[in-house]
Amino acid sequence: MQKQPLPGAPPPTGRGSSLLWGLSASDARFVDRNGTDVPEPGSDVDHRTPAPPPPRIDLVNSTSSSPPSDSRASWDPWQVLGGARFAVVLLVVWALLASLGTVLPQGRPPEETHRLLGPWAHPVIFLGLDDLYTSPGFLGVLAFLCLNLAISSVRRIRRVRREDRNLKIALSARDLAGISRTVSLPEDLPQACERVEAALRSLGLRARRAQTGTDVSYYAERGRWRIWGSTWAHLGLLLVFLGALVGHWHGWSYGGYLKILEGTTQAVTRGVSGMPTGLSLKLHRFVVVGDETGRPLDFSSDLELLDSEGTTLQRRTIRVNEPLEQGATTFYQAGYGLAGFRIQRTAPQGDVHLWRVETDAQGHVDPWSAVLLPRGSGSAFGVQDLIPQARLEGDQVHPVSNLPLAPAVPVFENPRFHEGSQDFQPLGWLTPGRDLQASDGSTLSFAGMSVYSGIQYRHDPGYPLVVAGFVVATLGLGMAFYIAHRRIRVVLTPSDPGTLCLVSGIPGPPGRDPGDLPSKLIWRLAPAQTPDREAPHAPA
Amino acid sequence: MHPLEAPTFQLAFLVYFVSLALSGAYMLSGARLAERGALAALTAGVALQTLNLTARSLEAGRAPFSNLYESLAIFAWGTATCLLAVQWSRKTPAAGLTVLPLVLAALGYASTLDARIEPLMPALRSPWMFYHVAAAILAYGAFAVAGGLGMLYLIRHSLEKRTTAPSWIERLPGLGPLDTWTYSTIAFAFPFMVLVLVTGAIWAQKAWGTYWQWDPKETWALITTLFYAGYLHARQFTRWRGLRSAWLAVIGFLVVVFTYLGVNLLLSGLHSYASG
Repeated sequence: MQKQPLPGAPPPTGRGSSLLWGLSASDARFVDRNGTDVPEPGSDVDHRTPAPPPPRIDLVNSTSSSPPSDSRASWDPWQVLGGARFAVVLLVVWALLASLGTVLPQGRPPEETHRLLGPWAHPVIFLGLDDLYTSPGFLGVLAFLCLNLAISSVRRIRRVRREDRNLKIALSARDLAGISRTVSLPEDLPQACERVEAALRSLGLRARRAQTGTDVSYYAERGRWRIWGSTWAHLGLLLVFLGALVGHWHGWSYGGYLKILEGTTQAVTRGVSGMPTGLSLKLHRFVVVGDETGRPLDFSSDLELLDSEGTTLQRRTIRVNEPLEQGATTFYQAGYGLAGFRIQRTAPQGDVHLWRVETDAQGHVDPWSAVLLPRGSGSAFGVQDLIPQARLEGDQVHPVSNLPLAPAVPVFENPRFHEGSQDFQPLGWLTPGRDLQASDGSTLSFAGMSVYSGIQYRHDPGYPLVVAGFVVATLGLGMAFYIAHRRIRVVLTPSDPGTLCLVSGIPGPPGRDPGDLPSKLIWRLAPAQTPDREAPHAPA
Repeated sequence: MHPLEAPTFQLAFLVYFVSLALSGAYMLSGARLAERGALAALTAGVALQTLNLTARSLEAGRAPFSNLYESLAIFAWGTATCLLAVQWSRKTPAAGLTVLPLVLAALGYASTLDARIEPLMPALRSPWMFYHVAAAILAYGAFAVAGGLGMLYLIRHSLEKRTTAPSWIERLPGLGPLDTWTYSTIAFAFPFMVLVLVTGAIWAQKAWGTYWQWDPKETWALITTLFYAGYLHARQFTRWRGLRSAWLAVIGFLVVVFTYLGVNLLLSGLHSYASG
């Protein structure tokens, strides 16, 4: 049989000349030795053209990475649900839905959705598209995908094991006649077998041997791991989805956010339920590092994790990308914020009063603590929002960032508050090291900020499963795409004199020929009998 | 900025342009000198860009992965490197005609951006950033080359349908080889695309406390992966080869472009690092 040359392709080098299938021109159809269109191995039955005559021996009676596709004549739900066509449909639908979720607002309050989408908000909310990724439709597609993965994996495993059990090792010289290449070896059969086995080993092939009458046959292969590659990849994906399910199952996982001030301890609870977990966190020190432009360079927390009896479980410094892990619970450096600040008022008589100003969750000054009322006839003072990092130029203050590195707070004074006046006039910007003198003779000085460290925590028992799934899937993909599965058959038959050796490559899935293994083997056995054009460029 | 950085960037751009021009000259004239010159110029361009990125890495003390300028430069390098691998193994400069314009466009756009070296944000200080971005560069570069090969297939297919095809059509690879090379390139890239998701998820778990948040960038990376998974399944188990396969390769690359740039520019999310 001859391989048909492809237009524009280089001339054939003689590799793979024992192919049963060949590629034709243009659309890469498959043709038999007579040039008649035939269906690709593993594809649907082609009812448009008559089936070719069956080959004399099925050399492809071995494992393949391609599971049988859906047959048009079969409506077995098992085959349909686990079939490749259904998988493609599911992938397309899932991708379209996922893309929709990136352009529609997700997880927003209905009023915000109405504001963003106008009249389109009604159908979007009605169809659940405003919370698409947890909607029944989206999760339903995912469930069918998991079902497809599971069924196809089981079918593939069964088929691989069945083909492995049914693999026919023992062939005779007559079986390979006409579809193999032959070489004459001078040795008798036993010595020829030794040479062939050594040559197969040198090519990295693992051989199985059988005997039929006086003929000795070998089935040799390498890269067998490839067969399991797609199965591992699919099973790995299933593990990932299982891990995600475990992690999101109500009650099995929880999370929360703690705002901890330096020197304080907070209990770790099961999220919004508030139920105790028996763990608590103590913040010893929180450090923020930034540059003069306000760019954050680092922020870290020296944390101590305690159990219900106050025993230290762990103490370490965490920062972004370096969380603290305790079993299935992980604590992350998520952020920081302003919890308040202090201003010291020193009266003319020398009395010192510490004025604590509280801030809300967004860092805005709490109105109830924004005013310092006088004792007796002194001035009243008021403050507005503190700027965590500011640059002073004379009397001008320029906000730089939210990093708590160089605070500045505007202070107002009302010297006639005790007379009933509500007129607060700007007194100036108060910063560390720059005091303000009030008209009543008192001195205001900045006495520090309270900055909390934002610690996010999550308990996810499913994450280890997800990671395991990632590893399995990645290994599977590597096996499926980067390992070449090569197989050849060799039959040795006594001839007078010496031994006749027949070598035939076994074609793989569509588009993959057995490579030049037959040529390499023949070259090793009998270089003198190998035509120059078929000699491998270099022995492996 | 390292003293070698700017000259090597500009030279690489120029040399890529020369390679593109020589590829075009080979297609029109069939001159062997033009064919060899195109491959040589591409090799030189990749070498110059490697030098450029190395210089920047030495100056910054880290891999050049942190903003859009660096991202575009490394994407151009990844695409050119994959193209070089295809051209050297297949011995044809034709793919450069459809792929090198992408490389030049990426470098051209990068040249309009701020190239200053900035310190890394805390969230980007992780070894997972290297693995994540390196996998993305390999995947996106190979998908770009596959898209270019698919485009060549469409061009040749369209020309063959004419009653009189131009003479230079014979210098284009045949439809069969183009189809096979497109598939091979996508098959090479697909595991790396999955690695992008895997490394990104693990990094997100360490940085943000959750491995998946349906962030637009994450979602579109998943969509890209699903698209090519569908391509591979359709090719393996159905008759989606040849022309259909070529169209899928071209469309797939458009999905990659949207994932890589469109999401940053049009949608907002956690992946704001590469927006400028």
